[in-house]
Amino acid sequence: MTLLDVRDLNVWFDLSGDREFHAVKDVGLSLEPGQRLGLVGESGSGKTTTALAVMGLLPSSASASGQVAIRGKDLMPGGEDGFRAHRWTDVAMVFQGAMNAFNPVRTVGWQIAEPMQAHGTASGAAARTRVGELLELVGIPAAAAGRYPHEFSGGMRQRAAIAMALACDPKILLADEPTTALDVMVQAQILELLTRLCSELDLALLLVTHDLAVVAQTCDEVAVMYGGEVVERGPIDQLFHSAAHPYTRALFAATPDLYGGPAGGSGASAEAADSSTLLAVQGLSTSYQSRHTLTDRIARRPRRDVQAIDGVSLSVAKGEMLAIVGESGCGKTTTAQSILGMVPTSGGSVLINGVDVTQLSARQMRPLRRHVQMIYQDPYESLDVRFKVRQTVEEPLLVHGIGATRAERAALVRTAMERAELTPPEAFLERYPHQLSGGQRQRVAIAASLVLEPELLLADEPVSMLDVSVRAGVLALLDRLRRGGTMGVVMITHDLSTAAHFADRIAVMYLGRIVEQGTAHDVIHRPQHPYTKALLSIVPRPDPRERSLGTILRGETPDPRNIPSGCRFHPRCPVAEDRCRTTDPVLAPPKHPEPGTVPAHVSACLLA
Amino acid sequence: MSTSVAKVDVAEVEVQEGLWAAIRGVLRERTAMVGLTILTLFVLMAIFAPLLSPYDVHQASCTVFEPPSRQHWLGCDDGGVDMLSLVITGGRISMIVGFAATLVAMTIGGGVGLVSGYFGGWVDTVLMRITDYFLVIPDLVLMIVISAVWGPSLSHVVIVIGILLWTGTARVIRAQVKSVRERVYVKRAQAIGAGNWRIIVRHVLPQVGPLLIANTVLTIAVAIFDETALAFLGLSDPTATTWGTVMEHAFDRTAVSAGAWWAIVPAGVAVALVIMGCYLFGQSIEDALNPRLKVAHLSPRSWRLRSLVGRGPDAL
Repeated sequence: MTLLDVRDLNVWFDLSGDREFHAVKDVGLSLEPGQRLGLVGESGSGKTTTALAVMGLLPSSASASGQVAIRGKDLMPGGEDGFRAHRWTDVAMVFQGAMNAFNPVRTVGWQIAEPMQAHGTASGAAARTRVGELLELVGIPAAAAGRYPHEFSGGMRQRAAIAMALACDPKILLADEPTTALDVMVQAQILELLTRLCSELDLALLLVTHDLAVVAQTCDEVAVMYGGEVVERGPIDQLFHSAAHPYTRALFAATPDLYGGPAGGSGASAEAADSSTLLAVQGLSTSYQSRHTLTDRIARRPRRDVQAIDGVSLSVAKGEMLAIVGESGCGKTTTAQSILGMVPTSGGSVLINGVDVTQLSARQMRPLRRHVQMIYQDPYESLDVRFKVRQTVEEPLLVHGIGATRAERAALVRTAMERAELTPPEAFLERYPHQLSGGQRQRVAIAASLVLEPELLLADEPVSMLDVSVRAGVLALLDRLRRGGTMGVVMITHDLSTAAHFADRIAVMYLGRIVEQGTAHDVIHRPQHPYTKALLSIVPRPDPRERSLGTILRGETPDPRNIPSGCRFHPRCPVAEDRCRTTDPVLAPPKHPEPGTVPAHVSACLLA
Repeated sequence: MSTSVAKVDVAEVEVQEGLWAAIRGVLRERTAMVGLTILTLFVLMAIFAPLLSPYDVHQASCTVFEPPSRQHWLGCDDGGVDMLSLVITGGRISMIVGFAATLVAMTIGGGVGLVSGYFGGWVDTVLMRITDYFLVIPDLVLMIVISAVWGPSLSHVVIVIGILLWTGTARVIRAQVKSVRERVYVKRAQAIGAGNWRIIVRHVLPQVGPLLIANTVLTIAVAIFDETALAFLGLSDPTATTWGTVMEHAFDRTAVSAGAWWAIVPAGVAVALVIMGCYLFGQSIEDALNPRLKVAHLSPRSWRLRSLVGRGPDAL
């Protein structure tokens, strides 16, 4: 008998004024014990709603029809109450952002035990024992049950959320974007955990995600949702090699593969770098001051400033794209903020066209800002919702007093929008941000930067908030812009595949330092630093045959408040030796260069 | 937790239309409409007071403390002046003083809140300590002291009320500005090279504007109340006819012992109605601004099951 059998599932949401939205259309899914099914789709495709319907947890504005059967018993006729008895004991869910949904005033153990008490499966000492077992199962020491959520890191909270879902021994686990807000290394850890749990507990997994590569690494089967319908379903290998539906094919095509496609690093632009250096950062350091209160001073506690970046050096030439790669907290965004002059630096220099901007006051800096523009991560946040597209793109001109007349400015706005490929501009000028899609918003932000004709564009995770299918377009746009030859681009990303595809050179950052830098081709194909090697080994690949567990680094993203001695990477390094604990390595070319390695390839490892 | 997840899907479908949708949303509330109607009627009454008053308020038209009758709907005061005319004319000055004092309070409060929240640091510390200082002073007592020292005059009343009612607004606006200035689009404006003035006027002020409006409406209520209180205590201009002076005169001239309730109650009811109107309207604006109050996930209502028969034509 099928464990979970969903047939003809339909969900509608009431909208204002008697309208309704058909969010899920005739969806059918089935799961057997131990099976791992990926439900893939973009935002608004109905994948989360489908998962919630399986849980019977739709909001009150929803209505549903169809069949959701567990072991042959249809729960739908019973309505909300019909589901309650099966929730958590048969089917449990790790909600999107569950790791941030813990109650801060209760211990993690108490919260994991709560569903057991609610369902009467265990209580008292038995429940405590079970909590310990569950925590061990997800890789957290049982003793941590008495700790509070804020004492856990993001990865640990996500593990605890999974433990909570397993509290009542469910047969089916639904996981909604379980790795989305996590770092690549932690993502790899969580995916490995989910895979292991499924085989150990004979658990059926429904993994809801927007990331095809994550599914390819984790699941046996995949169902692709588009506009509320399942457009294609099948074994992952089959879909990868011969997807029938054009949307599935487009989705695979839009998922960048680390080693697929040409590495952007064409040797020519690396040479051009010497001739027209646009940005030269030398030994840049930035620290954030921690609060040093009067009581701290009286108790003679030392100031503990957070050294966000420490001695970063890099350069960008006109027409070149440099990617800065690293986990969160490694200082990549701080590097961009420091180049932009938005945070006070504590050492080193930032030369833009030969002018050291760290020596300028905020007022002196202001006219120079037009030369360096920044694209922010989240286009939903970076545009003023009260501004029409025209106002947003025109604002920089008004700020810098460019374009004397309205007509002159309108022409500049049009040109910038055409360069950002928002064509025809008339179709967008009078719209507000909420009337645009995510990709269009990001293009508006890009147009508002281009209108100043900057020489340097800093892009901080420019596509990580966008849907997969529009990412490629925005990245290709940035690529074309810099190939125009007048502009250099610094792209900050956590995604090595993206960096490999578009950047000429890659700088890998770890704990405020650049640990490896070189042409994209060299860094991807001949990594020197063990950290780079580990990062490369865990990049999810869309090809299911490339599934490997790689070198998953244990432990958490490092804390810049607590920098280890010697080599900063040694506590997590798989190949660390004794001397790594004491000697701080400097960036240097490899001692035994492989044939064909460009000398500009440097890494900071004693063993390289 | 669960519904907030599902809401994402719905939110993407529903088209929001910005400010006008917000205004329409406020006006759909029945309480907002009641409040707005009351306020509109009183404002119209104040504007057209000379046309609406049946009698001259400076001339006796009936006997002392004449009870309500067909000619004098609300009776007469101690000087034989028609009470209805007094309430209509008194509303004029009461409301002008109330609005003017609110304007003063909102200018100070909004300004202090903006500057304090936007610049932060020692500016914030200094301004907030001053605000705290004003916040702990008992309003009415200080008003009485200042009015007594400066002497009775309408402009004094406006200033006194104005400089005492700005503290709450300053704190609310400061908190909102502090959150707005951390938004990415404000950072982006800075990165473009925009100056502080431009960012405040173009990006921050429009965001806190609706909150300022809600606070203004609520402050009007307090200002009118305080004006009435000061006038009742004889600290306003004694020659001006306001709701407060009407009640004060009636009180002074033994309307209570004479049993002439109609000399006191109408002005009091007028004050109460205006305050109620302000609160109903202001509160609905605040509710509309605070989406947390709208979250329905604690609703006991469940999602509904649909039979397959009633499916829409697009289902298959």
